[in-house]
Amino acid sequence: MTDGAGWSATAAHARAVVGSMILAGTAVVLRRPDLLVLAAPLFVALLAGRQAKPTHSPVVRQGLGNRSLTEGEATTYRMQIDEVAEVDGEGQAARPRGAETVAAVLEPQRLIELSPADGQLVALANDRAEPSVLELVVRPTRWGNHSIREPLIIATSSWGSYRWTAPRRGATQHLQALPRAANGSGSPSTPASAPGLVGSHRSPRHGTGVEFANIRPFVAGDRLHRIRWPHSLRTGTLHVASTWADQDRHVVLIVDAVVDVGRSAGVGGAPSSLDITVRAAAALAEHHVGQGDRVSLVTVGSQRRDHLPPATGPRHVRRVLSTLAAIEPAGVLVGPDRIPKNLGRGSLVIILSPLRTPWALARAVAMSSQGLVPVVVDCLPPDLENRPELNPHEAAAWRIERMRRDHEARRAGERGVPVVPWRSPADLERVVRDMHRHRRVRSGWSA
Amino acid sequence: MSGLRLDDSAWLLTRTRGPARATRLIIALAPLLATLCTSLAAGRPYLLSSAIIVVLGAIAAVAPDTHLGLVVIVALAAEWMLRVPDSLSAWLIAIAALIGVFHLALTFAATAPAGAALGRDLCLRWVQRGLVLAAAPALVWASAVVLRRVELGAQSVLVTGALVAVSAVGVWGASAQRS
Repeated sequence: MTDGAGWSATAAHARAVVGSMILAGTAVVLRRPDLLVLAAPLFVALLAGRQAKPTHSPVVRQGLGNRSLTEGEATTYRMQIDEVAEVDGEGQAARPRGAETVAAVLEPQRLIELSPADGQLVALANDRAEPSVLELVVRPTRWGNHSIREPLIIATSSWGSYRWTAPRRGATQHLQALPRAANGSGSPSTPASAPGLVGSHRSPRHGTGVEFANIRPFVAGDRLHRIRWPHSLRTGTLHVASTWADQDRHVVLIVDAVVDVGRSAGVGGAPSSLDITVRAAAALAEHHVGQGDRVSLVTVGSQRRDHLPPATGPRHVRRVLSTLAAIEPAGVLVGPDRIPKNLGRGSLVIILSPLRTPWALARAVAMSSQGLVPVVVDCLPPDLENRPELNPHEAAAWRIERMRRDHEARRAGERGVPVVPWRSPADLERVVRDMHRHRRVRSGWSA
Repeated sequence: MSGLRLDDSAWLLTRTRGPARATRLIIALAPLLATLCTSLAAGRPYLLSSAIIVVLGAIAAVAPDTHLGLVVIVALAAEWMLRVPDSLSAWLIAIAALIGVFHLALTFAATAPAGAALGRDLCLRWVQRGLVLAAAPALVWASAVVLRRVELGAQSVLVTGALVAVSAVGVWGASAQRS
């Protein structure tokens, strides 16, 4: 809420006052009535404008309709200009003499679309004793935390003689645009949410559960009803049926936000590497939580070092999206120490990275040797070297860089770490399934 | 709108559309037509003064919320006063009406941001005001013509009284400007 700071005369009023005085004075002194005729319109404007001098300062209430939305969605910036009604002799609230037109200008910002375009509005003030309302449509075209600067709000009196400017205190309205999940085109739809507490993916651990895993020798602590008597009689030693633990799969999303490669054009436009990374992470979080898995998130290279512990459910998805929206590239590698070291064997680790720095592949290879299941998702825009903003030298440099990355990706693949371009969560599921199958064949498992 | 630099204004001018663009056109054309009327009333063209006035008018169209408009109006009046001998010809009504329209168009242009869409109601209100300002000089002109035909004695008393009246209105208007 902003209190009024008073009305001031405009250049138009000054023109009417000074112009009419010069012309009328000269007319009288030089006895030139023709100059009085020239001064006549200015006199009329002066009298009418002076007569409509405002008596009250308006009060402005302003704010965003919705402070958190998905990129590409729109909200309104509402400005309510109220004039305090004065009470007349009979105790009735009377319309104060004040603003005739109200105008607002919201400074255009990159990746924020405004409607009307240019963020400029003007309207006649409400004639009745009701507030005047101006509404601008604000649409963030890219995920992230945006700051909407306070608009310039100006009220003008009748005949444009007096102007009131809303005091600007430099305050900003914060608008959080959550990333839109990049589910890819033509991919199978995400399965419906698991109705129970248990995910559709099997836990990597053996433990108490109902799904049969294998038959193994009895050890102290095993429950007696687990003993498989036919197998025990055949082999001569006690054997029990072991089961898969009734837990959900743990999916670890590691987001490499060290650098943002390419210029983002917002929703529907050419993406930057961080756009692909963040939207892919959002899609994976929604996909796996939708399947009942536990999802954790680690951001590396972001100015804000965030680590979300594993959890599931729609509220967790919201937390993940909110954390992703707060990512700002730091330009340096910060936060790799935040990657949990005690991840359970078999956890699915998805590293989303443009692979501009070697740490992502190195960490993935190290994880693979620890028994984890790492997958690296290449988030470099596929058309980067063909973008028109690049000169031929830059395009050539990117082609060479891509060759280097392909070579490193092949080497990582030879060590059991698949590096795949981002398409969709379902596509990544296929990669993970193939990888599991390959490992089982290699290790002779018979699950 | 207040606080705009000239380079900003020139950019904003490219964003104008519809009535806002027409208003800018009126601002630029009114001084040109007024100086043409002066030339016609004087019987010969005055190219230099006309060119200066036209250029100033064009700049005023780019920056309507400045005191340049006052300079244009004073220049138009000075041109009339110097070029045309004491005359109450009908051209005077046209020039005064153009000055009124010029003043009002400048005021209207300064009221709204250059890129804003101006509503029909708003435009109609200002058109009505324009008609009032354009009509006012005709009444004053008619009064002046009538008064000229009437023999008035004690001219010095009349001039002093008129000066006092003009000063009073000036003080009243200026006090409103300060408050």
